[in-house]
Amino acid sequence: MASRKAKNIARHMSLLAVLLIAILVMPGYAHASSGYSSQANSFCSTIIPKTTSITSGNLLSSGVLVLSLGLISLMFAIVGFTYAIGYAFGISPLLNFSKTELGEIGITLIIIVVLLGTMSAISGGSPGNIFTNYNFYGVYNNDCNTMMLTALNTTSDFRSVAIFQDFYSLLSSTSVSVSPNYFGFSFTPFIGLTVINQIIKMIMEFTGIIIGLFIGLSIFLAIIYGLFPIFLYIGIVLRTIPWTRAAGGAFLGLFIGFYILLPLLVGFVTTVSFSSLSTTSFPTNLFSFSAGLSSILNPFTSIATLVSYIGKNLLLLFIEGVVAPSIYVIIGVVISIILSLDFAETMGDYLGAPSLSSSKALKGVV
Amino acid sequence: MRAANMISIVLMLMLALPVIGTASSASVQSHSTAINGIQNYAESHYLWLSTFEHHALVMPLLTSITPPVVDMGAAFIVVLVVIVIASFIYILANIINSSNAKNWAKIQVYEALLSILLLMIFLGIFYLFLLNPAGSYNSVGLLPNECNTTSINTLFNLSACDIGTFSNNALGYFDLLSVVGLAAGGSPGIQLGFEPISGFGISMSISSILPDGIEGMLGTALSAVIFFLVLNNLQLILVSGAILFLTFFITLGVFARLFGITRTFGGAMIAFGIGLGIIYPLLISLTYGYIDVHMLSASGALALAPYAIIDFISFAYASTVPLLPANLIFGLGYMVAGLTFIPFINFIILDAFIVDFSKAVGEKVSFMALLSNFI
Repeated sequence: MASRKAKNIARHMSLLAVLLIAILVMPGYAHASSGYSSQANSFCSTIIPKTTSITSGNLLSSGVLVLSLGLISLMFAIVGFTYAIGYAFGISPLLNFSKTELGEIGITLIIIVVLLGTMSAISGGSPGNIFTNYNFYGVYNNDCNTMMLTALNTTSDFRSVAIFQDFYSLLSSTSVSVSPNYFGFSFTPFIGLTVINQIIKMIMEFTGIIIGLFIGLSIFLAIIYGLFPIFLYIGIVLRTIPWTRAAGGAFLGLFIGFYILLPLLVGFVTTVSFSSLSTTSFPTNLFSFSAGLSSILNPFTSIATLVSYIGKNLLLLFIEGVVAPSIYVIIGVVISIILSLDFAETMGDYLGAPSLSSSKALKGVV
Repeated sequence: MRAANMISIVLMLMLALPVIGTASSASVQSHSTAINGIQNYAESHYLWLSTFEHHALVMPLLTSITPPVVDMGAAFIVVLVVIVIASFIYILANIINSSNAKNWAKIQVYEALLSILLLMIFLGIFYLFLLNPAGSYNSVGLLPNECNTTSINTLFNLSACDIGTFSNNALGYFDLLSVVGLAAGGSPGIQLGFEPISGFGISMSISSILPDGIEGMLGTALSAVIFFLVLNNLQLILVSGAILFLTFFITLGVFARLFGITRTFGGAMIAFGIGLGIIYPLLISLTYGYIDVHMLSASGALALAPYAIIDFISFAYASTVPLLPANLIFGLGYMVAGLTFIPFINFIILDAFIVDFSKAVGEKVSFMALLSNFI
């Protein structure tokens, strides 16, 4: 059973090696420069630096490797002692435990050799350099730029819609009063525009959500980039100790699924769906003085004109310019997260945390 | 066989009574420390809210960590007594030539030896966690400035400091959002009127130049932050009581593992104790250490509030970005991550550990199932 498990792990490790090589060869490219690309670059360079305290710590990765190997040697000694006691007293649970532990220690050695070895081979050097290769940075920076550019290019749309809303609020409150000698009447010819205002409010809220969502996704990627490398180190050490093997497997599974696979998937999916997202130009002819004057003189015709404008121009422009490109990116990111989650659970299952896939806790979170 | 079982259980129960009393008193001491810590934190935040100027950061420091030597020592003694009794029964079984009794005695010895091994490993890990982690954490950028003091000298203190710092900063950001909401209420309106002839005129007005949906979005955001802040305090309580959980559940678990009928329950308790007492503080110190280092502090965020309002207004009505100061955007993003994504990652890893470990040494217990039922 231990040998079959080792074969499964070896097969998945080879898949992991392919993913790591994809990081090496995936070209870093720039999206079509439009709108706020320089601001997006500046933002992403700040939250996703080329090196972090964790990844630049050569001593950390080398020290963790030495610590893991030392722990493995200690576990070999303990397991051997346990096997001797079990054999001497004929205690079969001890014998079974020792045999199982020997297999698990072998699997941990395979993981260390394949995972760290592949990563250091790609980086071109020692185990201390597994994160200093800039390809991880390139992939994350590329994805962050996609998110931020989408968010920032949408801000001008938010601004346009905000101005529209103010204008329609002002217009709908127009009141004409006729009261000679302090007695008369007043009417508000454009009060029906409050209905239109609700549509514009909905558009504005949706635009605001898109901006917040994509900024949040950028920060989400930055946290994974900055924090998850430590999961690799902690996972290897914890997996070596039999009683913390499940936690170590969970750490390693999350690292492989989210740090390695997720940015690759986001990059691939957004490459397919991302087009040259430029700012949307809403026509502003309604702001002219003549338009305002004619609306006062003939409110019914003006309302009809306004409704036609909202239905044909504003909504269509909003759907084509804001919703459609954003939906592509959102669907791509959601698919990437689901696939990464599934892969993290599978890897965690093989690396010592079978409950990661069976408990469905992670699926519930998503 | 049954008589031997019953006699051994009665003897062990009589021996265990003073042990339980000792464990309870040690647990009460740790419990009161945790409660004091939480009360200090709550009171300090109330003072900070009322002054709005000086941010006195008080974390639930576990200043009096009592190593669980007394509890573990008592558990050792009980285990040794069990081995003695089992050996005695093994001798009797040899005399009366009963294979069932021999097997029973062998299993008891094995379980007792395993309990001793577990106790030694747990004590070793516990003392490892009493080493000062400041140097190691600082070298990888996981030690926030607020926790870089001489009083933070163990991993337990560091984890409590990390989550306390984050909670304080998150509350500060909540206060900032409230201030922005109040400021939004003060935004001016526009009123135009034209009355060329007395009694004949046109007027138009809007109550606020701020877009209509902004207040709704701000209200939703504030409600969500409050909800997650309350949940976040659950983490604070769990970390503050880490040593209590460790000593209480492991002592209870080791003791329960000695009896056949409570063996699986004891294993589950051991898994709970290690998970909440060792794995969870480690997770908190890593994840929230990172968040605290990269997140703008509450006082820094409040200082940026005027610039935030100006930037947002210029963003809404001009073509300028950023829509908020960049540091504030990062801080808000890290705050949201710390209230949503990070706790769930921590609980998922903790759940994976508790489920698999409890399956190995006892009966399966799921931490996430218990937590979700509780919530």
